[in-house]
Amino acid sequence: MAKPVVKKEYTLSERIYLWEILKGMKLTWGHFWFNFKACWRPGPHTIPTCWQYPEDRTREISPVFRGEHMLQKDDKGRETCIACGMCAKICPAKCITIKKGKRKEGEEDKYAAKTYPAAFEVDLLRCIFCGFCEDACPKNAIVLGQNFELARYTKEECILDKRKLLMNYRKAKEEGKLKPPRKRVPVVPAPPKPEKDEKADEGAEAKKGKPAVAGKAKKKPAEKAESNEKEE
Amino acid sequence: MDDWLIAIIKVVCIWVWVLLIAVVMTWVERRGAALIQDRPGPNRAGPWGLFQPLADGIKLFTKEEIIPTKAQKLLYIMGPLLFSVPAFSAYAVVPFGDKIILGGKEIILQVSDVNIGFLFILAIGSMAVYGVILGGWGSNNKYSILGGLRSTAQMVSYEVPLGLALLAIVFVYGTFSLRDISLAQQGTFLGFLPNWGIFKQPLGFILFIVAAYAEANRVPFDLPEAESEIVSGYHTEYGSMRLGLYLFGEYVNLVTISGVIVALYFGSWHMPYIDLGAYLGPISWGIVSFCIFFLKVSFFLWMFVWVRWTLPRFRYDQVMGLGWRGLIPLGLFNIFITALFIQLTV
Amino acid sequence: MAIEAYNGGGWIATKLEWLINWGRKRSPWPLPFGTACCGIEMMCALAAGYDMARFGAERPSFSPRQADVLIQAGTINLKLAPVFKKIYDQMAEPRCVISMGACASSGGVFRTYATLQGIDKLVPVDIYIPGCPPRPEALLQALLMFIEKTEKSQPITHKKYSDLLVGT
Repeated sequence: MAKPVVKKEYTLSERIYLWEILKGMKLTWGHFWFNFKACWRPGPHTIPTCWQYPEDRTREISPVFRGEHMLQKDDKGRETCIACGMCAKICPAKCITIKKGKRKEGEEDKYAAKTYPAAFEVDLLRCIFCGFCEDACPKNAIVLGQNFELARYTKEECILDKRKLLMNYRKAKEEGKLKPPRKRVPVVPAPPKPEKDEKADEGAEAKKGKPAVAGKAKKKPAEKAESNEKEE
Repeated sequence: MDDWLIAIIKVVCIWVWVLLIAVVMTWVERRGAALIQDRPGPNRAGPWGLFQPLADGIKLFTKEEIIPTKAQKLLYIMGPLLFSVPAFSAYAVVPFGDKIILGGKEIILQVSDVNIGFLFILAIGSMAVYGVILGGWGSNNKYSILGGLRSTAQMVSYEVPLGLALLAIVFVYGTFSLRDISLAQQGTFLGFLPNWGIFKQPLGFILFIVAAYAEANRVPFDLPEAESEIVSGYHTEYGSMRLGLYLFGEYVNLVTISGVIVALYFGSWHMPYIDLGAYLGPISWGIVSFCIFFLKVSFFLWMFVWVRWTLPRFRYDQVMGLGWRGLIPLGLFNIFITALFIQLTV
Repeated sequence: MAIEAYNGGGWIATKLEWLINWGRKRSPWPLPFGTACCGIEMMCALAAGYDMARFGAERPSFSPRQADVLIQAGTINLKLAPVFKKIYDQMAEPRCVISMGACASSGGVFRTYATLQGIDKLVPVDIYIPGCPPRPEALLQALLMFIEKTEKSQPITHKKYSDLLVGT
């Protein structure tokens, strides 16, 4: 039900407007006086509603904030990234470039798996910080950290290569800002399909049960025509 | 010869003083606005941001000066001049204190005490309208034209209520000269009220203040300068120090208008019930009267800033409606009532 | 004489330069060219939460003749590109362009035929801010970088002027 709109006429004092002005001025004076007293407090965070960057970094950043990327290492200090390319494939802005490299004999303590990224580039100027790469990574290697101070003078400084990504990880580890490892969602097997009695329906279902692949969409009307004929 | 020297010294002093007040006003406006809006405002340029106006001035001086190719050069250059120079010169008849006796000579603290007092101010104030319209027209930009025309219409239409309120003052005090009106505001009337203009002319005071806000292009009447808010009205095409002259001239206008309001309605340099002139010596009375006047002027300057950040902007038809259909009838009514009172009581 | 030839100016020139740089860095009036979502974050930086007016950027003007810093916040389409270039051309020297967000710096997600792939194809950009949208603190960091850049600039004693300054 629509809310009824009450149309109130202006009272005389509202039409003259002077009294309303004085009421408004009382409100602003209250704000002014409060903030004037607040300015004299110690510390960079003086006025309660203003976070005075850069001295005042006291605003809480959410633990799941999506900031600058980093490539994680495991407990033994080995790089976890296996260069599978899942992050590059799912990136909506296509900002990740990966070159695969194979692990050689003496590099067991550097790389955790048999393959590693020889070159891993994230173009920060294309990235939209969605976090899909973090969700898609099977080894929890690429993670979006808490750093948001990313302004730079040149475009080249904004392309993160592998060295910078690992350095981000090291800095975050030193500051204690690492994210806890993501809990994997357990894979629940699909419930069994209900059985049906009639054979014709079984045949139709067997044909309908084929996976819907894009290239085979044209056959569906033909299949439906066939099954319609069979039912009739 | 001495009189010339004294006059020149007074002119220079007043000029420097008004400049300083206008500069400090920019700082007060910014910090005041910020504190009203729950934020700190400029605090990097010096302690509490005190050198912010200086930084603005230096930046405006060192910016590239652009004159648009198709702008009419003479009008473009005359605009800011015609706006700020009258603002300064109108202060010549505003008293800023009682007299001071230096070296046996009695010097009144007013640059020149002409006997047409505030008519001079009205006349000079009308020149500021030329500054706006020439600036708007000479810029060769449609937004500037619109802003300039709107500003002109507003300033011209609010000069009528201004004049009507001042006319009632003439009825009460019988003189145009601001110094004589200031002197007449001594003592009390009706036994307990100080003899100030605001108590003798309450309706006139309200009219004058509203018309003064409109003349100074201040919110709630600041249509001309932030008209579409998208482009800045008549000073769209101005950069560098010409813009500085426009912005500065606005603040100097404010100082002049505050001075006039205090001189006419708030008992210029008189303390409410105490007659300090009788107690203090000649030199200290001069200084003290100046301080009292300045305190009252700064209260009104603060009022300008305060109201700016309280009220939203009026729409153009509301501005015109208020001026012609609201204030002018009120002004005529005020004159009628004042004349009636004077006829009945004198 | 030799030292002046090395850095291009004597005491007066360098002190005057310091003063001019001080004035310019303490009063950067922005032109907020907000076309898309980054505009909201820019408004947030201008508002009371993270106050950009502390740095002197109190008067955001939409008139290019009066502004120093053009903050491009948001996507520029090919339709708006000539307008943007015109606005940049109308700005008075010294000017600075801050490209805020992914779309302004490089076209962002929108690799299409209608989006300008980065405003540096039209105008020289001084500071890039990645992010989608960047936090208001990132914009304030960019403003601080602009301040640093202005401190280091040499309006008087730069090489191209120093041959006029022999003897000061």
